[in-house]
Amino acid sequence: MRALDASCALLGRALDLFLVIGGGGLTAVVMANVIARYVFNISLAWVNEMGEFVLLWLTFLGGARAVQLGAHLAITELVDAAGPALKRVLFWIAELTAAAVLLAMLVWGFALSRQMMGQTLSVTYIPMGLAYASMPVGSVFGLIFIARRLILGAERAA
Amino acid sequence: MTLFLTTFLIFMGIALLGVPLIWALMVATFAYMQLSPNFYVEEGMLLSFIGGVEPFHLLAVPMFIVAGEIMVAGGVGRRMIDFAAKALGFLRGGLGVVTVSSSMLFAGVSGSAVADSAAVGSVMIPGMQRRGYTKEFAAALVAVAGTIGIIIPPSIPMVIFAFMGNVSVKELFLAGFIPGLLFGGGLILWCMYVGKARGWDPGGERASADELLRAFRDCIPALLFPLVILGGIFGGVFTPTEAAAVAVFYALLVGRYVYRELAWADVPRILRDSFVTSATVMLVIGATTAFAWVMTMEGVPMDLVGKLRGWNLDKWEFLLAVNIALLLLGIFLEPVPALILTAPLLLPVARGLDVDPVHLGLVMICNLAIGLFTPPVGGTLFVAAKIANARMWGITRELAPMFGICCLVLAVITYFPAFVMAPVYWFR
Repeated sequence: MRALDASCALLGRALDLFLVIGGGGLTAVVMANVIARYVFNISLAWVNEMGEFVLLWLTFLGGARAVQLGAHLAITELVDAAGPALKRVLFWIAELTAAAVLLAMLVWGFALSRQMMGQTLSVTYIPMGLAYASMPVGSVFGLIFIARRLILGAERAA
Repeated sequence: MTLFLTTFLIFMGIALLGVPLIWALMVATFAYMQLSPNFYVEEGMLLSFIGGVEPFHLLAVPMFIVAGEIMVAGGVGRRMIDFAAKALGFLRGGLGVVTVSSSMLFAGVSGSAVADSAAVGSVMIPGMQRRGYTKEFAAALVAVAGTIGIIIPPSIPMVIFAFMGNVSVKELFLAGFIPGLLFGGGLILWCMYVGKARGWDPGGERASADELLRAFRDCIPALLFPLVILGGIFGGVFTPTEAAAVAVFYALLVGRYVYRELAWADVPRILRDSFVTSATVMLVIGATTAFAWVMTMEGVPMDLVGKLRGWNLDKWEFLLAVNIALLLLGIFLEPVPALILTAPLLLPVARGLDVDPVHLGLVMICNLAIGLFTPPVGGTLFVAAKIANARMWGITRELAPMFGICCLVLAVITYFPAFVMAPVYWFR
């Protein structure tokens, strides 16, 4: 159990690192593209494709981190008003619904990503399947975080 | 159509239980596919999900969130508030007026209403309480004024509508100015009336010309920001997406080297928080796109167009119907998912009735901005209530007259397109 806790904390930190480097790097590249266009009169054709690729990974991995942090938008009026017993029930409903959806996104997202491995992006030649793999990978991480919360209870504030 | 309404109710039911919206939307989408007599492939639905998240221009969403956060950490928000206070704080209801006017200033640098409410509310709510305003009024005002953040450009919902409706972001941005001033002006008048009628705020001391000048000079780098961003977009120097990246770097420069309040050590935390926030927004965008895809495959937009044709609505009746429908939808949904859900329904009808799509977008966004503060669900409402630590019911009573003012302004925006769209026509 300690191992599960520790590895989830580590995974969370790794995701943070990706969000900071990936997100910050992408912003810098888009900015550099503007400068390149005006100062050096060149346009970097790969920026758009790279941008979409990284944006997908940022979205699904950031979404997994949001599962861990409990940051997904929700209507909490009923939960806030509920007594402890009802709160517990609502907690389980929310977590199990999330797990079911993530499982579906894992299974069909994996199939989709495999079907797309054959097609490549037009400038960078990256297989589209690698971009689409962000969905099943993010779903796996989300499922791990939910499992951890169901087994060990709420995380310490990160 | 019945199936569409059924699945929408499934979504609402699950969401009200406190299940995050993203999962509730996905459950509704899966249910839609299962209940339909038509056959769907799940991978197809996920493909449209990814298609909703992937487009390059959506990079503007996280980047504008990052820029807004850096602005606040770098002291830009504080200086805007300070300038507004020196310029207008002497009026009756002065602090209310300052809250609204600094929300308008901040709207020029931020594309998100929630960011606007958070930046202004964290300073102004305690300030108003100290001067004797009730926390309910303070929270209500911040929640309403913050929505100007998505009306005055830059605006994240405008970027998204422009893409969906295949209209120019520039024109939508231009169209936002007059409505933003109208909403702000209406709220300022209300604050002056309340300040007088309830005797809360006789107004502070008038700042000397010297003080005012100093506050203004301090504020110049912040005030130049909209000029750089919007000038760059309108001048064709960079695209709106690139403008978001420029905004981030401009905010870094100002916060680090001009105001010197931003520490490099803060940047990773800001990036982390902003990209987690944006991921939650993007996933809702993707899930709504997937739901809208099934809805379109089921022919709901066609049905609706047919029904409306049968009713023989003219342009103005149609816009009135849009106003009412979106006010109701806005009670439950945030602007971005509401846009993704309704734009494919309304755009074809609007084109048939000769409604300018830019005007339709403007009306929809102003409409849904009101939805941001209507209880029980609303982004700026949540933020303001949390900062003020006020009860929802008390805030609701203070919101009622402001809601009335906003509806009046909305009516002007909807039914006098020649007036609000003047800047667009000017540049066309």
